[in-house]
Amino acid sequence: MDFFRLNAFQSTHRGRVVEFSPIANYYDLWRRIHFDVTFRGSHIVTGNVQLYVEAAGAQEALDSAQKLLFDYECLLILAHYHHVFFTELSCFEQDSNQMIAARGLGGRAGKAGSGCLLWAEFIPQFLAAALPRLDTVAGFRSALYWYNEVTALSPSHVLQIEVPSL
Amino acid sequence: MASSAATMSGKDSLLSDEQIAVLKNRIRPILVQMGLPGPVRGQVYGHLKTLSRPAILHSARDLLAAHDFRQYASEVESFYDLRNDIVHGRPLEDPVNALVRRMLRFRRLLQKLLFSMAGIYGTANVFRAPIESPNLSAI
Repeated sequence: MDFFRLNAFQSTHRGRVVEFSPIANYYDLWRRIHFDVTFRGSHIVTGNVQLYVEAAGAQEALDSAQKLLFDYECLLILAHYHHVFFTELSCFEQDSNQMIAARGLGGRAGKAGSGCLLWAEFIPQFLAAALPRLDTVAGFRSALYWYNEVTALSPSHVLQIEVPSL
Repeated sequence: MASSAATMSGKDSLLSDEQIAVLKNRIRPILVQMGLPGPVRGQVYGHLKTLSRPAILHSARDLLAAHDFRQYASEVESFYDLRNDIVHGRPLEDPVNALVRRMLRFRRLLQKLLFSMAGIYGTANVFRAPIESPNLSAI
């Protein structure tokens, strides 16, 4: 995810607050992705997401978080014009640093292709406008799914493969 | 028959106004016999004009119109023709460059539509790519 000139921000979806924050050395990484020939346009973890869910158990909490984050993933793919995905979900007890469960997620690897369609600083505004419309604008959600699937085969992107994240 | 219909009942209709009138007269007794009230019969007659329209194209035009993108209807028709050529195994006459250009223009149109559905199309300074350019080939 592109965090250029975008600090940590909060987004609300279905009554839950989701906090996005760039990793500590984001701008070092940004320079590598944009100027280092080896890493140019590569998929590299750029941030963390934190949210609170109420659940009877860890697996239920992970299910709930995964479902919620999927909506973010779909919109961020449209905004970035390449696959933006969550690599791992970790579940912690409230007010505790003790991890009680984790789940690896998958995404398309490979070069990211062209840059973000939006300026990154407007991503929070985009999410705020688009998230409620996923459920209210007829056809928006399904159109987004189809579009995102088809862009994986776009000729402007180099070949991409699907691999599970670690 | 199709060409005369195109000038009378709309571009997509395969039935002429006269054919629709004949069909209407023939099905009216059946609808009355079924006990359908007048307003319902009216709806059935109304659908006769749209029966022969290609459903996908018709829906796409409605979607474009709903988001003020009527001017791009020809792009959809062009892509729809390409889709039909591929699905029905017809040889593609355009050179590869033209086909790729057509696909890229269609993709930009889809991006316009999706951002419009998302509610941010038209918001100043948000887009890094020329999404709002009327030229679908702008990069």
